[in-house]
Amino acid sequence: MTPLLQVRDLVVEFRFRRATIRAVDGLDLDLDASGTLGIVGESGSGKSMASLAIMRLLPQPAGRVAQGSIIFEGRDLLALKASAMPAIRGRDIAMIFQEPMSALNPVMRVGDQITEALHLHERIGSAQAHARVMEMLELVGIPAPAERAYAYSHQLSGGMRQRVMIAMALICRPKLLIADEPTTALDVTIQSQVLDLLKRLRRTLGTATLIISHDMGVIADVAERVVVMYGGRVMETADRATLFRDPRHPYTRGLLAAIPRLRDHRRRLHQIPGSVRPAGPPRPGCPFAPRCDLARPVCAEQDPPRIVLGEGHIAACWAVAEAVS
Amino acid sequence: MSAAPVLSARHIGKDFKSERGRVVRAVDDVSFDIAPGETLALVGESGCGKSTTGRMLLRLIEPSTGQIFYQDTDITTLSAGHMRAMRRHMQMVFQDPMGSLSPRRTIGQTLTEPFEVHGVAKAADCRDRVAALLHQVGLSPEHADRYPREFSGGQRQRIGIARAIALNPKLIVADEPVSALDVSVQAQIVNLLQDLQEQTRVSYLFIAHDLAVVRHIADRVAVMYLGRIVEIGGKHQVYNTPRHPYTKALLSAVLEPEPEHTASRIILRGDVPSPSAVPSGCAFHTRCPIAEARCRVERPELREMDKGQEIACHLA
Repeated sequence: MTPLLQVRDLVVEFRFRRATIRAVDGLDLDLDASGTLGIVGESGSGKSMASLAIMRLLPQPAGRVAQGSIIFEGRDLLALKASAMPAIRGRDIAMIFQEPMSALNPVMRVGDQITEALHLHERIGSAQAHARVMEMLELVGIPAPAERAYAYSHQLSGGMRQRVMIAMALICRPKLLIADEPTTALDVTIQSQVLDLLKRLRRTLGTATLIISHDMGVIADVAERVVVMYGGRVMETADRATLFRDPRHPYTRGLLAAIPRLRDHRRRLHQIPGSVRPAGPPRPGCPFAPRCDLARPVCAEQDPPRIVLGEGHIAACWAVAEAVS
Repeated sequence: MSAAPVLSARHIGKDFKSERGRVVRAVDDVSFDIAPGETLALVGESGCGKSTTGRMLLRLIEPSTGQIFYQDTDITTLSAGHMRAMRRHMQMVFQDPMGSLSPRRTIGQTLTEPFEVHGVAKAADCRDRVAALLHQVGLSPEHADRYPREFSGGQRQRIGIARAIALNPKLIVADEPVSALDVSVQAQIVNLLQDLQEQTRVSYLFIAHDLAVVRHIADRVAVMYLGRIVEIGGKHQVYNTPRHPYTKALLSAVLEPEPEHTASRIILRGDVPSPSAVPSGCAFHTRCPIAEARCRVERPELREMDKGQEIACHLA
């Protein structure tokens, strides 16, 4: 099966007058058509910048892809002219964000916005377009779609707005949906509804999904494969069952142990010392080394090797390398 | 719970006037006790009134109805001056420490303030007291000369906690103290709060939406929905044998990093109604999977189901 999306050695940098900040450093991603890939990371991990790079929407003028390739359906998006991207965005690759309020037009009825997205990419009569929009609103679980289509975004609840944004993203049946923290701003009971919807849509429409979250619980719920990022680098990647059952990278292990669970009765939570380092200039070595229990001198000096631990299970770590050798 | 409570809320409520002059009841008839050294968690979704309740305890928001007792003193009737003096016993930790720390004062200046306001330490002693406080929250004395912007989010929350414990309060209201922090840093702050409680027997009102964190830190839990407590009880009662359908749904919505764990999730329909249009009868009936005709008309009061576990539901 040819992958839908293949990212190789992606490096994203921000150039300022005085300094260059490296936000993503050597990212590889593989996503099959109809697969679900999750990127999990904390603030500054580079996960959102990676998704913006795929859309070629990095903040300008400072942000740029310094290296690497983003192969989507066999062609390198980075080699395309900037003028070719609008035809791809929305039609082939669509994106939803944490805060739908800022992505929706406040003075346009939501139904009209979805219709506009459709007209942008397809030659379609207005009666037919209307039918498609109604069908999509129904599909994303908006009750009384004919009425809600006339609402403005501020008249909708947070959960309904997120559904509208999902409808707008999927109206042209894109092959890839990028969901960046899609439920982070929502209450837990509404989060359940939206995650359930995303899973159902993937089954019915077959849209491949790249989901980005800081929340291991969200990732465990929806992603089939998981990429764990820290400080712009991939720490570990594995299929979901392996990652959560047999994590090998000290960062993944530490993070999972630091999360309180409903069914555990530990008196103290595992602590990762220190704090997340803000992104900075390119540096050799492992970005997690200053906080790592297992760090050794080499970790701060040389990039860790990528150790293959099983099919599709890779950890970038000197300590893991030593343990398996 | 034999010890006399540090704090008791009795039928407290808060009405806000909306722009159109309508009255919005954000908190309605809420009562609870907090024992010395105990952590009571207030949980619920946005708009349930948990933060308003927490702020009312310190009278940062004035209650519209009801009484609040600190030990035996009814603080709802205290003058502003007496209330200020009372606040040395009752402190607050906020979600965003950056918003509650002055950017132009060093950490040392910020931490000296409580001593000056309450006149409890001479200027000469302050430096030592600040050093001791910083040490207590896991920072070092040299940090006193720095400004808030020089610290990470987790360190700033440590500073917020240091300020709250400066005068050895009996109660700290902690409003979402870890929800703005990175996951790898949350555990540090949760552990710190627990260590401080062991050392000082301070009581916490811990306001949070993350039920796994609450399970870890709380002794008792109160679940709020649209301004009212719908279930309150010991941690094990609420988590192991939740009785209110809303509590059950909330617990089943917690996503854990355990893909094998596929307990059937209760997915509630619809949204939380606006606090300005609270449904009749039981406010939860519009989303409740088991609601009956009676629930739409008659409001359930809290009643004890098990020792220490009270719920407000006709059908449980």
